Amino acid sequence: MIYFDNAATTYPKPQSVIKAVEAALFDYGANPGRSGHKLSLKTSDAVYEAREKCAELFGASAENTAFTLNCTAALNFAIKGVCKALGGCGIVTTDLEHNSVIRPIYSLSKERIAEYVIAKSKGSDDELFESICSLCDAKTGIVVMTAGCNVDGRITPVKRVAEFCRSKNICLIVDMAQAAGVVDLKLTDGINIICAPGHKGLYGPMGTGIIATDGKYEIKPIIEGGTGSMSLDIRQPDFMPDSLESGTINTPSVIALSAAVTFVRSRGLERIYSHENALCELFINGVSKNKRVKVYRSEGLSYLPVVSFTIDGVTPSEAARHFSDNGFYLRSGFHCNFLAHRKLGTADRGTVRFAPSVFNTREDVLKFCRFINKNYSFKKF
Amino acid sequence: MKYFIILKNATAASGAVKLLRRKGFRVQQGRISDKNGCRFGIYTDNDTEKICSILKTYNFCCISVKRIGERR
Repeated sequence: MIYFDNAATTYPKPQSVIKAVEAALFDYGANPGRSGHKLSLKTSDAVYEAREKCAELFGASAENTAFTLNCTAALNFAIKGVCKALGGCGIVTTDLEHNSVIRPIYSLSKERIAEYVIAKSKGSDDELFESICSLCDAKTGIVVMTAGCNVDGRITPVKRVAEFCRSKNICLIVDMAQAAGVVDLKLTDGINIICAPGHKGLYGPMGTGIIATDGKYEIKPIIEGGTGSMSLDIRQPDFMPDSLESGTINTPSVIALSAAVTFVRSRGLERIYSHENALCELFINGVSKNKRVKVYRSEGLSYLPVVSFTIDGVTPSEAARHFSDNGFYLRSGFHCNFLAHRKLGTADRGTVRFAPSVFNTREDVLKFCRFINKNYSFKKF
Repeated sequence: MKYFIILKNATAASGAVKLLRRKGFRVQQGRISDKNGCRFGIYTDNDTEKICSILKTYNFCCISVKRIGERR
């Protein structure tokens, strides 16, 4: 089996992460932040260590870093929480966004809390940047954008947008679903809130997400409940991370996320990007002579290690099923991002997505290219 | 330990203990319940004013200090 579905979740996980989950279930079995006995306090310390490591990765303080169920939850907290704290506002986003960005925004607009506009990413980074800036006006309170599109992997000019947002006093929320663990973006780059999953490029277990804030903008909680603090007060705590961490967190996975971040940092983000990007280049080159394969990339743009492609004469889902039957695991379809597919012109059938990880080798990719070229070189009608 | 310094939450308590131990203080994380609900913080025998002053420089807010006597 060769797994190329790492943009959905990385697999396999590092041995250190697997061992950390087991150790967490054995050694940190009490509820953190709830009790005063030694096992609970020990678990709290382990969670704090994970919090510190994640915070450091995104240039945040541990106190301003909360764990969520996944990146979608983090984005919902950020988008709805800031918008509600601002008393409603205009939101600018892009046509590269995942449904976990556009759906919360749409939901706010249906409630008449927000109005939104979508910047076009057609063309260069300069054009995307200009498009975002030109849509911001006096009503704009938030810009939400991905650091890299989950469909075609396009990297966006986040740092330039951050500079612009700072000058206009606009809150910038960045979706790092695909970029975390691959691209080094931090709050110190001028971003106000970073949302990331723990289970993709950070190699942690599923059921983990991170929201890191610079504290400049209030994030009103959208879920209230027990936090282990202010227990006699009917109101939800207004301080991080408690304000966003109601109920027991996914403690074993969060503790394992600590090991995962250590794994990523020991490999180095640049090395990881370089390795995975080289595999993408190898794949693109490997199928470049095959006239039936169309790769969705443009000259002059930067990409995350994600490649969307289609094969003429076969639907993406049929192709992915055929790949799966032969031991190659890739995701096909719309990747929960209809905006990007509309832009790419693939909204009718979607694409197949090739997404390698640090554990994939050149041989894996060459084997896959050989399979495609052998089975899909001539059109079958 | 003689004193309990109340901090904002469990996260702050873990962070404060880690910081203070690194600086050579003998402290222990803990949790108490009082009329304001459940509170996380640190037990210590050391000079609480000095500790709170150090914590303040690292953005940890000491909410209050309780004298707990020789309970340990």
